[in-house]
Amino acid sequence: MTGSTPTAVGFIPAAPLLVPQVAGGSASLDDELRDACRDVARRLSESADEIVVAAAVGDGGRWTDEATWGFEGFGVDRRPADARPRVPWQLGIGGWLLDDVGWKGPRRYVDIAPEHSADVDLSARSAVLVVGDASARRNEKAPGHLDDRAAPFDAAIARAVATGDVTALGSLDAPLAAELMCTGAQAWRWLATAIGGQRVVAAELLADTAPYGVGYLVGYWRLAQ
Amino acid sequence: MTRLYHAEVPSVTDHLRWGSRAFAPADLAVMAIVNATPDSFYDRGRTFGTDKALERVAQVLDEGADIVDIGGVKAAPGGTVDAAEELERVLPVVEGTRARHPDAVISVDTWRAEVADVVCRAGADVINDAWGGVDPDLAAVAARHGVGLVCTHAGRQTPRTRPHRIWYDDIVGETTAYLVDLAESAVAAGVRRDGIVIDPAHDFGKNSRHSLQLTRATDVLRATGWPVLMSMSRKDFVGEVLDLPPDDRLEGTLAATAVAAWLGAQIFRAHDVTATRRVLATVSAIRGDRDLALGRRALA
Repeated sequence: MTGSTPTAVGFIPAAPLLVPQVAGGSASLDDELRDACRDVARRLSESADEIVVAAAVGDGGRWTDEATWGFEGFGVDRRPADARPRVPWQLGIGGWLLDDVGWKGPRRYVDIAPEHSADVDLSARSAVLVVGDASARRNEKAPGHLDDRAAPFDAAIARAVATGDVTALGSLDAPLAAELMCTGAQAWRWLATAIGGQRVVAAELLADTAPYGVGYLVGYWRLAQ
Repeated sequence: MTRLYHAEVPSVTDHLRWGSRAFAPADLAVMAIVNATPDSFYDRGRTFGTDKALERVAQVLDEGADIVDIGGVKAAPGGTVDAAEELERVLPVVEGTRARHPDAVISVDTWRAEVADVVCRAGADVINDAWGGVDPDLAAVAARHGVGLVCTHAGRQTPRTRPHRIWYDDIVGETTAYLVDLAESAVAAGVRRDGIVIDPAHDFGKNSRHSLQLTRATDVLRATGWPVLMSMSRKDFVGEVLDLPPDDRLEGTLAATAVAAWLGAQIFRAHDVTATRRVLATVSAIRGDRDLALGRRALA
């Protein structure tokens, strides 16, 4: 994030079921979590001229607001043919959320994998929406089954988000994160590096929950200008 | 008006030959689930232990199961079950079944070649490779013993792991291509062409919508020419359609069974043998492949 001064950061899970169309008839079960994400997106939109959606997906792609998103690979009905470039679904969750809260301003999507220090140019009044979650091994029904290390690992991340602890977020144990199927660690470490010395002047953890064995964190940081 | 159904699709062989049985393309068959496990999702240990498993075998054969499918390791994650423990659970059930029911078609649900080798020597007729070609030696074992093989698409998942946010650009195309490739590889490894079936493996490496898409595309699977096996019984995709737990998924399972049978699937791996047989007999009669069991109404 060269020469950048993001105004704010939002944290949301990379859970496809956040998108009501994907969740189907059970969408309302997760309304509280979804509303927390909407709350974060609204706060970002109030404090920024541009929103950058970031996730660690794999090939380092970059897209502008000409791109679109879709979830047909999860079996959701295909949208009408659309020639626009399509972002990976993880970034699409951020795209859906921005549409859902009515964000009309400019947006970009960045895949910060595989180089977590990848250079991302931000304008003076950008906000960053990071898509990723904590461990997927929180209980026996979890995608990765139970790993006893998952709860303390996730608690440390939740603390870091809640207190604006950039250093803690930046020093997450990458091999352990991989073992615990934590999809957010890479993006969060990138974020910590990118915002560097910039001070977090307000931090709030809006949700910290794992209803399906995956650690979902929703958070908001306002950064010093 | 053009009307197509399964029987008009060319088959790889005239008959599928498993153990003592030869199944013509129009025959619909029930493969009864026999869990030699303490923890499988539906029966939760009801048939764990050799005696209970053999009672289950006797019961399902009595109910008209065409094949028994004996498994010793539950599909979901959990405590490790190594090959030795798997054999400890499964082998006596295979031996007991063979001794008590000489003509029964015995399938064993395993991904391990070393387990397959031992059970085949004890009389198994089919290896149900439910995790889809994880052990590269499994087909060679089936070839060596001349037994049948179920080729499965489990989304390249590691055995006993759950799919997590799995994405398919083309679930039907990818699954079909993978299954045909696996079946042809099995033939290349020496497995009898008339002993191979393909199974899209509902829920394995798939979310519920993927499983529904594959059910809808049963005719595409059938069009490969390979006999199609469907393993849908009381699975989560049925549960998620209806928001019901395993105990309440019979009707949904039977609806999927009827649709898949109509579209060309031939073998149905099931917990509920009698109900599944009745559904398949009815589908078979509607297709015109089976005559009335009783013809009196308005005919006297």
